[in-house]
Amino acid sequence: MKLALIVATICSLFLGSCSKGPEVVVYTALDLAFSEPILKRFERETGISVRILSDTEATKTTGLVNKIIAMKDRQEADVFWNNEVVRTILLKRKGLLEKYLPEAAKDIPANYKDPEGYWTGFAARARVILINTDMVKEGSEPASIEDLAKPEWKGKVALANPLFGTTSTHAAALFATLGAERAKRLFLSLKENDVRIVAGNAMARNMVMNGEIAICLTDTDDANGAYLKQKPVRMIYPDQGNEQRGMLVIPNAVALIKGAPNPENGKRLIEFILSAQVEQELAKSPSAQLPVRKGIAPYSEIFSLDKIKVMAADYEKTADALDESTRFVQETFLR
Amino acid sequence: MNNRGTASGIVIGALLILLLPGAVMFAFSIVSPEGGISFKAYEHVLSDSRQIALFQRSVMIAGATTLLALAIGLPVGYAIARLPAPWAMTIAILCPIPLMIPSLVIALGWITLFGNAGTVTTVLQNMMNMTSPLFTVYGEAGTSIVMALCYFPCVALISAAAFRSVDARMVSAAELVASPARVFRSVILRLALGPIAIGAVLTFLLAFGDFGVPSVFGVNVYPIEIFTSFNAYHDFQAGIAQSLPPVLLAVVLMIFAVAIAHRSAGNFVGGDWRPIERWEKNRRSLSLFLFALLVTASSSLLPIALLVSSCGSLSTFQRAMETAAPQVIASFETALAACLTIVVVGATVALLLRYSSRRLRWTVFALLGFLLAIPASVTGMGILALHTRGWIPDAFYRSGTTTVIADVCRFAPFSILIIWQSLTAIGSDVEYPALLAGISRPRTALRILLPLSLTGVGAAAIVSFIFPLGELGASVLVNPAGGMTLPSRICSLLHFGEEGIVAALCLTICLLVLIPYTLGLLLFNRIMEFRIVGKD
Repeated sequence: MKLALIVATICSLFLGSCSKGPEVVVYTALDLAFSEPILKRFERETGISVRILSDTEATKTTGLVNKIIAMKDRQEADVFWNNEVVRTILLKRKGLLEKYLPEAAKDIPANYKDPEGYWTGFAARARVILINTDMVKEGSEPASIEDLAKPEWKGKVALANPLFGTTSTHAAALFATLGAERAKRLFLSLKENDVRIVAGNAMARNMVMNGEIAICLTDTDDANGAYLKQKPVRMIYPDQGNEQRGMLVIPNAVALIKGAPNPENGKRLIEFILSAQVEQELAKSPSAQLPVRKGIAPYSEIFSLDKIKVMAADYEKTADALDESTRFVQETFLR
Repeated sequence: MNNRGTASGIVIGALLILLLPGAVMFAFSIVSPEGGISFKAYEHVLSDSRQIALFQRSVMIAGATTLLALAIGLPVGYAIARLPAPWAMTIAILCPIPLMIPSLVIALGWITLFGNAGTVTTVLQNMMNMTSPLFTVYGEAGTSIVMALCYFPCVALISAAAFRSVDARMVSAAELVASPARVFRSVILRLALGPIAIGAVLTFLLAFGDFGVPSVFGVNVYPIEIFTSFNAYHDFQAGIAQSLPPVLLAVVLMIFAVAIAHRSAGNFVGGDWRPIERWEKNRRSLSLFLFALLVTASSSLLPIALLVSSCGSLSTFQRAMETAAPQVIASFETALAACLTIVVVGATVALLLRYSSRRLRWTVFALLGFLLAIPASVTGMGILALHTRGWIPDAFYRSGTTTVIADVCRFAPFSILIIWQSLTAIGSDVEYPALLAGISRPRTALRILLPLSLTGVGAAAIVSFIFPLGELGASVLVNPAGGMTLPSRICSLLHFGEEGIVAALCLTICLLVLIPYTLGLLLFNRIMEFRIVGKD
């Protein structure tokens, strides 16, 4: 009798985990605070149950990428919603994505889409300089990444760990755009200027917000987080001069996973995520994502791509440079 | 168990199951793309001065953390064992709190106070009219101090159980001829040295593997190399190969600790055994109480106070519960299932080790060192590998059982070691009357040995609940979609969730542990009182 009860309990645990209707599984690297309401709305509107797996600040996006790689022979996920693009390209190169050309992406500029149709970009972030206005005199602000290596900023600049996240993407983009030698000189000059390497963009932002440090390199969503807390900070778009390279823009990227258990539902979800309405929602959210489409109102004027000189970064070349740039920053900063 | 071979077989079987995920990944690390055997991934392990320097730094920081944890954990453990019951209970309740809060959150809390623009730093600067901070919390020293405050409860809880098991008759006899300080050094500490050594090794391994706290304090450590291989290069073979040095170090340390445990064994629980007596309320006990209170309050109440202040109001707590209720329930269920499984596995293996050969025991302890040092990512990847190959059915994966499996693989060694250590204090003469009366070994073990090692089982249960509740490294990989746990939710909100919500969820973890833990302590004390009073 006892044994039967135990067996019945165990069986009910497993039966309870079986899905009863249509579902789609999405791995999302975008902060849950912004991605979850959108995914839940899809669930309500379509009746398709959405199972979400999000990443953590601790694993910096790559936990989901590792899981997709590890489960390549038995995928759980249908859709990968990345908050950057380079690791989506890595998955494509490993043959883990399925080609899909969404209808909803027709009005997204070509430079934010994979030419072969494996991923689509939208709702971007930009790499910016954030300063504490109490610690940096007006008129003396750094205007470029190279300015951060100037003597007056020695020991006063924080940078998120360049091995991971958007900082690693930025490092790879600099290697791809400037060339390896020039990029290495830039990073060595930052190291010689005692740049502080911290755990993540949010931590770098917090240090500037709280007056622990004067300047950091971070993303626009982190910068807006500081504005929302009404801290004495200002965001600067680096390298905006006529002869300068412009600022790196990193879009979200959504892709269909090869071997997805629910590919048709996955495609419906991708169409939903790539809709103008969702991009508008993300633009107006506290993360102030920069719309890549025309006609989407930004969070505010300072968060509009129209007002910014964007770095002409080729994301495929950035992905090519990722390995070399990562090894270099590892040797340089991880000591 | 009337057959040593049967006992050995079951022990080996249990160990093989626990080792399977790690073994699968290590096997994968020596498979070349062409399908043959290749050690290419191991060629670059500790091959350059940078990696060697990082490894040395990690060993030094973990060593310093362990020494500090011993310095504060042993007095706290002694306080729990010897202070008058109400005072001991207060310390016992506060003590494990640092283990319940993610170490990263604790580190950020200390930065809030002692960072360059921290509250305490600013006050001191203003008081002394200085333009720059008096001291810096960043660096290796700050890292070691904060990690010691995070992990000293391991030493405290294990040593408390060991001190409590010391036979009161031995202490009373020694106190007739020696001072209390000498009795503590020569009798009590010596008899508890085995568990203390094991607690120290566990603390060392926890500190070695933690790279969250060092990264907050700007310190680079060796585990970041492993993390980088997995998460920057997605080179799983390299990551697994780089895990080998810490694993070998853990095996050596474990053998060393067990050797100390064997040498110090001699406190025979049984017969007229009574636990060490509690002190009266006097100046001596008050001094120890105040010291223990200072340590436990600063390491537990301080982060709690910061969390409560971040949380702000009850409405934030309510909002956090509304959004995270499924994760709270899932985490509690998973931790409870893991705890029960781990304690059963731990008690079974520890009991069977008692009847196994000396050679097998040493092999098991070496393998436990291996298990303790395997990075969480490797365990998680191994379980995923078993799932994708069909060894773990889909129903297990989707129900979240794989999360429980990951917890058992990671934390069963703690339980096995703690319970085994408390069993070594029980003399073999305790079992003979029962065996002579024809009672089987399993029944003897259940009815006599386990109750006599209740303090060890209790310590194992506490650790086996707290650690799975806060586990993140493996669960981010093995959690099914839709089955997020509370630590995953906290960490996913750290970047852009409201700080208040993050704080409320951290406090939830504390409550999820504190309530059953406090009730368990009260119940445990009642049982111990009954056993002693019942004897009279």
